[in-house]
Amino acid sequence: MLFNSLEFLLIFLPISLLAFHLIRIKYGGKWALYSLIIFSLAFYGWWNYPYLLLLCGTIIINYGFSLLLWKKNNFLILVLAIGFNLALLGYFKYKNFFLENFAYIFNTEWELEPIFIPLAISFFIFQQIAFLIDVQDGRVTRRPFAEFTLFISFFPQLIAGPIVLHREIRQQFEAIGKNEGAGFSFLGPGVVVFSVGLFKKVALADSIAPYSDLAFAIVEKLTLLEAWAAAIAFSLQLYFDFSGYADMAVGLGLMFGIVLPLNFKTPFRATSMIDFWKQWHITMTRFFMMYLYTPIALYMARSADERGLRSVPTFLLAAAIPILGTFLLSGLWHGAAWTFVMFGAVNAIGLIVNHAWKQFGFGKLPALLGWALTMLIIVLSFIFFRADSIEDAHRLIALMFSFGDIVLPNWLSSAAQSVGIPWRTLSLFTTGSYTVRLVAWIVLGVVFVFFLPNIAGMWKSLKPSWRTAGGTAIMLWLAIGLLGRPQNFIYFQF
Amino acid sequence: MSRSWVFFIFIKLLASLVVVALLVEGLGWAVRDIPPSRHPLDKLVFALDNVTLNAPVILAGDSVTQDLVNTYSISRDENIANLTTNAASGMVGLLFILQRYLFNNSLPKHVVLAATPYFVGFVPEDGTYETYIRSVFTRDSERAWLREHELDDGGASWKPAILKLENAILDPVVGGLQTVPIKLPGKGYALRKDIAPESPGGNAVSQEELREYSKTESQIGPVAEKAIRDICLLLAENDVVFHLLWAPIPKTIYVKWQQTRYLHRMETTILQAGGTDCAAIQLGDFNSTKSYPDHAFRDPNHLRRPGWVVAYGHAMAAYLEGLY
Repeated sequence: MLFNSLEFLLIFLPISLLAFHLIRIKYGGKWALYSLIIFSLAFYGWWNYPYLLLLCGTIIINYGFSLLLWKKNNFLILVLAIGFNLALLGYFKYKNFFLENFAYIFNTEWELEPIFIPLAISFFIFQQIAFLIDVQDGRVTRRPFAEFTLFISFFPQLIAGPIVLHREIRQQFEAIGKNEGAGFSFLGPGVVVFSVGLFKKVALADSIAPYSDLAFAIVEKLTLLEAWAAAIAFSLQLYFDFSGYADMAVGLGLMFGIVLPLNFKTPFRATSMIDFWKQWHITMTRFFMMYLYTPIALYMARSADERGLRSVPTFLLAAAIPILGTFLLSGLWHGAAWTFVMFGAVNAIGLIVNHAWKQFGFGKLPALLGWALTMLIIVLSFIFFRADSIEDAHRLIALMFSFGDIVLPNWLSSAAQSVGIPWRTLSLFTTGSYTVRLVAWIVLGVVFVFFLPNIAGMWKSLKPSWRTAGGTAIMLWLAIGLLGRPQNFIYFQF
Repeated sequence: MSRSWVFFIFIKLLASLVVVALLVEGLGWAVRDIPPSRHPLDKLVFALDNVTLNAPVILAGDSVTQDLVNTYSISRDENIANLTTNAASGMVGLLFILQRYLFNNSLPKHVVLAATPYFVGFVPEDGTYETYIRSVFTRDSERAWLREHELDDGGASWKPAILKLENAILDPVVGGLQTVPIKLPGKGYALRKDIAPESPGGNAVSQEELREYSKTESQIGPVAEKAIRDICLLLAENDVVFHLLWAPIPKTIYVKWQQTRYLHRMETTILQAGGTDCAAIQLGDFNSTKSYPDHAFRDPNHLRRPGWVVAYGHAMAAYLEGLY
């Protein structure tokens, strides 16, 4: 079930919230945490209950690995444990992708059965890998099984993150267990943050989605202006979709008295690639930085140092290659397709150039220019993220830069004729009213990107004022009024 | 939770939810009678209720004809009332438009419907029905007609305005800004004689699109048939001559439809739809006097501007010339 579904909003959330707090008050925090485990597993099982076995299976096996690591801190056990998790992820998510590419390279054909990807497998596997590494590093001492189960399955963060580190949540669980938790304290801010997230997802992302869905389905028919509209519309959709969902996760956590890490700041205001990746999908970036980039970069830096390499080769070894490797894998984490690898590659190149620019002291770009270049790279990378194929992405990008091919829609033929621009029947700007609506959503989206404060990041400073109440009420009503429309969640597939 | 947040959740937020809902409901109530202006059909219906025209000829049709008369002047203003729509409202929409027109204006001598076969057989459903019929034609008689033909279940479910902001607030508010009267032919560009059909401009429809289109031989179902019958009856009662002409059709499709006798079957159904009332329809075909090659179309239903639209305009003007 999605957070923006009626069954969640009207049934699951009120019942689980009420039950959690009632049990906490009447029987103590420990029992409340147990109830939260049951609700979290029910939440996951609602989607497809046989896959609940997979989630529970990984929890049991990984806890077993943790016990072994606590007992005997052996690097081989960690390798085995990570291997098990990656194998699981590989089977469910990447098996067909690798076999397809293998078949392509060796020019053979295989009949591949489609594999049903278990919901959120990338998120809960990564969270468990991070836990195991922390155990092996000695950052996590022996914890009870129930706490580990809740850490992995806690439903606000189960489906789409944030990817939580154990140390961020352990003390909070302990406090609840000892009846020393936040209790109801964060309920009010939680409701406000959740409402903002719901508004972003339902009122903004789902309103833009039909336009970008149509555009990416007919890439071969688009023209220059339509290509730009498609790319910008999808970028806004992705941002509101994912950051809205992340806000809802943070808000839900607060309602249960648990503070989850922030996953988004205001990335579309970033003036550099480095700045952007500090604000977009923060916990995933952190995971890759901590467990992949940093070890590789340190190793490479030491290696470069030992060989006495000069600054450029050192930069290539210690920064460029680790960034490229990290982002290619991060792209692949998003989905088993070359389009996602390209998404990672474009961002990696942008980041490498940004780091090189900084490292070699080329000076600071004017903020507006930095913002424009950053957004250009991000929007281009999002085209790969969304396109059905690399060819489609290339076609769309080529269209965006074919400035000599401006074509106006047929409904502007009179104006086009008077200024000497060709016109034709367009497939996205089909009618005037449709085009005006698309442009209006883009403008509205941009306005929200720049002027809507990052409520999830400032929940502590929220004031329980009439103004907050009025704003929350408006956003809640706008979202609830639009709940009946077809909706999806982009990060659901990951 | 601090007392101020308790107060926030149970008083301020709940009160705000109620106040916002009530404010929006009040606004919705205040603008409930303002007709919306979402699409050209809304504007046409608004104009029908507010502008008096006494033209001897009514020109109706779907978008191929609408495209012509909204762009080019095919006659002097007072000669023709432009009641063209797009295909979405079908013959049911045309019936209601004619009923409203005849109620407010002096009787015309002729109603000329220049449309594609698709328009004649089309009955909107689901979202299209809601947008182009149910929310546009709201008079009791129109609702009764729709109920009688099971298009409308009659059970308009009540929803607070806050949950249907677009329909309850946005559409009427935007509608309130409209002042555009019915758009008459004569306001557009002149039908210049020097614009040849093959003048450059726009794109030609692809053969693939035409192949797909040629597979669709829409038929006239019971509801469309009843609408045609009622149109015939309405016009016969008022001594108005009803002309139905096939608008330009891409040549390959036209040839195919002649071979399969599709157009002939459609005409037979129309003539038989209303007993003696429809038997008096003046049938015609713009394709019989001038061939419209495939490349004359920008998509299967629309002619290319300016050349081929102007060519159709000359043919239309010539046909109408004899009716004033």
